[in-house]
Amino acid sequence: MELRSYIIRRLLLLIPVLFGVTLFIFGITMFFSPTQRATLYVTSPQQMRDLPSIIAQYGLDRPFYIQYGTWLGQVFRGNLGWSTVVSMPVGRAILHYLPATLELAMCATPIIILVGIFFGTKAAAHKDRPIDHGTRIAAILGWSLPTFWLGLILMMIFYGYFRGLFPPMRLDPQMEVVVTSAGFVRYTRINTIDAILNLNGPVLVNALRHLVLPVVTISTVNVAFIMRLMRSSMLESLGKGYILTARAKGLQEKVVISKHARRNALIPVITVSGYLFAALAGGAVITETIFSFKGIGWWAAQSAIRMDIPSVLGFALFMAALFVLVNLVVDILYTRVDPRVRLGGEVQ
Amino acid sequence: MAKKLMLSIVALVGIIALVLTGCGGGNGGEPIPLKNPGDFVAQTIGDVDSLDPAWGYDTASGEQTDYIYDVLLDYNGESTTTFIANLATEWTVVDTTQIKFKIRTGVTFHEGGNLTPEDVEYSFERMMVQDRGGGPAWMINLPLLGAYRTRNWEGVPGAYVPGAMIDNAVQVDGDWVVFNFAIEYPMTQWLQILTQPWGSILDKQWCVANGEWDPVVYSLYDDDPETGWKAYNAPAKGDSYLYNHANGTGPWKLDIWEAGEYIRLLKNEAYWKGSVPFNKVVTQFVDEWTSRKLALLNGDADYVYVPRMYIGELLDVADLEKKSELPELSNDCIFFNMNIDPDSDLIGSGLLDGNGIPPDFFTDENVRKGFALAFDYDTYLADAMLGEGTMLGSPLVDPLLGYDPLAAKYEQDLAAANTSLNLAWGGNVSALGFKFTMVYNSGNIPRKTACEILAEALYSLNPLYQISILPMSWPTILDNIFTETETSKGPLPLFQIGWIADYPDSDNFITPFMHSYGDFAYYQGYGYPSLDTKIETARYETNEATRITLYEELHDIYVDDCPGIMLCQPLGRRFFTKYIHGFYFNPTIPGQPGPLYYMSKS
Repeated sequence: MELRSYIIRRLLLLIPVLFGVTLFIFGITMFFSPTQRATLYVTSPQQMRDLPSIIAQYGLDRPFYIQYGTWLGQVFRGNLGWSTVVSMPVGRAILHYLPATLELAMCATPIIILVGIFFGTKAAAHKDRPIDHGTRIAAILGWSLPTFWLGLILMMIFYGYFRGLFPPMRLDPQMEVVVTSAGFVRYTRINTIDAILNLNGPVLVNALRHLVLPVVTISTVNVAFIMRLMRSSMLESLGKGYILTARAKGLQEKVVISKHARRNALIPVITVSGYLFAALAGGAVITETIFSFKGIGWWAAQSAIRMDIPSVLGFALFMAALFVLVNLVVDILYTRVDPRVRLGGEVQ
Repeated sequence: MAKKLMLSIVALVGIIALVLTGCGGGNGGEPIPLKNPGDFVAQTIGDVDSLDPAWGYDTASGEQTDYIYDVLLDYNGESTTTFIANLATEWTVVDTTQIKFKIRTGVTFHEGGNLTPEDVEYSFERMMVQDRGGGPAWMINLPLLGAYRTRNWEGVPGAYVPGAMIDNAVQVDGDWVVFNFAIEYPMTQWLQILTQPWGSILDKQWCVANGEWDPVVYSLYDDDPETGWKAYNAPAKGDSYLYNHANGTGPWKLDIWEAGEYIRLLKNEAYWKGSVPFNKVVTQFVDEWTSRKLALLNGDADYVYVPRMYIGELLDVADLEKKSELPELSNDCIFFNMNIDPDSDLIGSGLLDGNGIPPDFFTDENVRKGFALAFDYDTYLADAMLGEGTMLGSPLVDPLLGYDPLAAKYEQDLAAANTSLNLAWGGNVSALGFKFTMVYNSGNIPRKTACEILAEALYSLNPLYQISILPMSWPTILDNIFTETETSKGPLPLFQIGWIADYPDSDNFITPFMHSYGDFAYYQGYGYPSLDTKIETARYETNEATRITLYEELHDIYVDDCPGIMLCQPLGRRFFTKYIHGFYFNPTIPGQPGPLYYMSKS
């Protein structure tokens, strides 16, 4: 199947996906009474006497199909609604908080993949030897450690005991002044990239210092997963006949592993890595909250807790679109890695 | 061999993990360094809702508004009863329906405009015009217009207050601004209201130039909802330019607000009062307690919000300036619902048969008093409030008029509780027992503790007295409290909720708890005409001694009627680094860090 038509077909499928997701979420929120949904706009008991007018003002007591239709109409006009949790339009909130999450995802994903592939390969190549046992223990620990506990421990050690070596949040207050000044252009709102583009070393260093702890926290769990996946995939690959042939031909073990076995073993890892990046781009709620690295995950969680329905719907739209796109990219990558696979899922 | 090695490594890692858990959390007793010299950095929870003084009704918004804007008059230091001039140089009470303020000259707004009486007039008219749903405008509306809201005027759905009333309510007379009340209103209350963020003074020209209500174009005398003043009534938050822009006369001006992350203010170099102590005021919104604590200990923050349960972690830190026993203008109470929804799932069988309670269970005074006498107040204060509170007999708190620490209040008396419950419902309560469910908002430990204390105390009197405890999300609880059918109130037999002062006047506490249309009393089905009359008499009484007597009587009525189990007035704490000086406590100051303009860092 031609690549372009394949891409177009897949993108068109986005529309029913988005419609279905938002209809589902909207339907669930209708289980909450208008008063419950109105509490989003209430910050003190004094305001409770105004609940009827708040309900009327935001149309919370209108029938489901009218509320959903109104929202859908706004979306078609490019208005995703207002995010009460962060006091800005939903569309702007997504653009505002996404860079922080992307920064985390962009820093963590290469580490997760490279470290996971490296140690997974080593573990498979040295099966049942100390390095295999070591990586197994590391994987068990990494997988078992609760994210919030790990994050807090790291913060207590590297921000507390080591007196601010690696601080939370995105930047120090003095650096915030720099990045919000007229002389600094925020091209992407990703502080590391913007610092490079603005040729500002101090901001870059400061941004990297603030990234260390959240990136390590996110990476720990996910490295464990990639490591084990790579190991089992490599073991399967190493058991194949062509590997035996390669060894019989006298190729160096290093070459057998890196050129022959690993390439085939990467296929499932590629698939998972795509979804991993999408999941990270959707926000690591716990990590973002613990380190006050306020990204889209933090925003989505706050919106859900406070029943900020427009925000929840906006996030759902974003995530649905993200996963559809990631699926598409992964499918295309698949055909590049494995020539036997064609677009549309056919295998030659 | 390999298995032994693996087990050894796992054990070693486990030990290291335990050690790491123990060694973190503090700064090892190191002195707190001085960082960000000349700036004040605070970390707290809860972002600003809006920078518009006519919109914000939460603490975070009030705190920033307090830094950016000025009001006509202020409290004198720690006092909540004496006032000092601010943007008004003097004021004159003409009679019980009129008061006027002389406006200071030589004051400039951050964007360069000069303060005039017209700005004051505009600020209050705009508040009434906007009157957003759930907003603070009711405190301005009630005295000036005689009603809480500008909509549904005189009970007519869809009707609005006549625009002429808004115009007449605030008038300019030379250097003076005159407030004309629609009702006789106690002036002290009005002055108290004016000291709060909703009394902030705006730059009329700047507001109009940025799309805010223009009284010329959208006239108060034009009733058309599109072309008249109503076009600006009850706006959505984002419709107002002022929600994230500000132009005040205060000591600091808005630099940037990154929603959810921080807000930064810069020194107003031309502040009319003189030099400003901090070049920058940065408030960072940090949800995680450990992060805030470490920021304080590292000197990255000068003040952080400390939840009560974590106070113990900072008490022994030497380099902190600690303020304690600060009586906050708030209280908490367990309310009895006198008219429970018969379809409630929380009242068991709905009958007094030992398997439930009837909807009118708490209409019997002996039941209410039995519960109030059974409650272990000492344990509540020690366990839920960690000893930092003052138990109350009525909604009145220190230092409001009528508050007396020695006045009657309930204390645990199990014998008296038993006697009371034995009399309840003709002896059927003690003979048959009761069963119902009490809720608390999930995550609120003090309220959970209160539920447990009550349940245990009653069970100890009689095993037939059974209360189950259920956590419930806050929106669901509010939905269940503030609801009613045609014939009954909500489904909760008991509900716990607290009150925070709008302004430090006794009526602001008594009315919600005792007036039949009060925020809480209405939804618990409490109140009666003679009590309403007494409350209204006290509200409008201008003689202070008489008011005190009236509120003391209302206190006694509350104790006698026992419509709720009054809990306590919390005593707050503040923690600063040792470099911060000048803090004093006034419970009316919106921000937790206190009167920042009078503080310093060295």
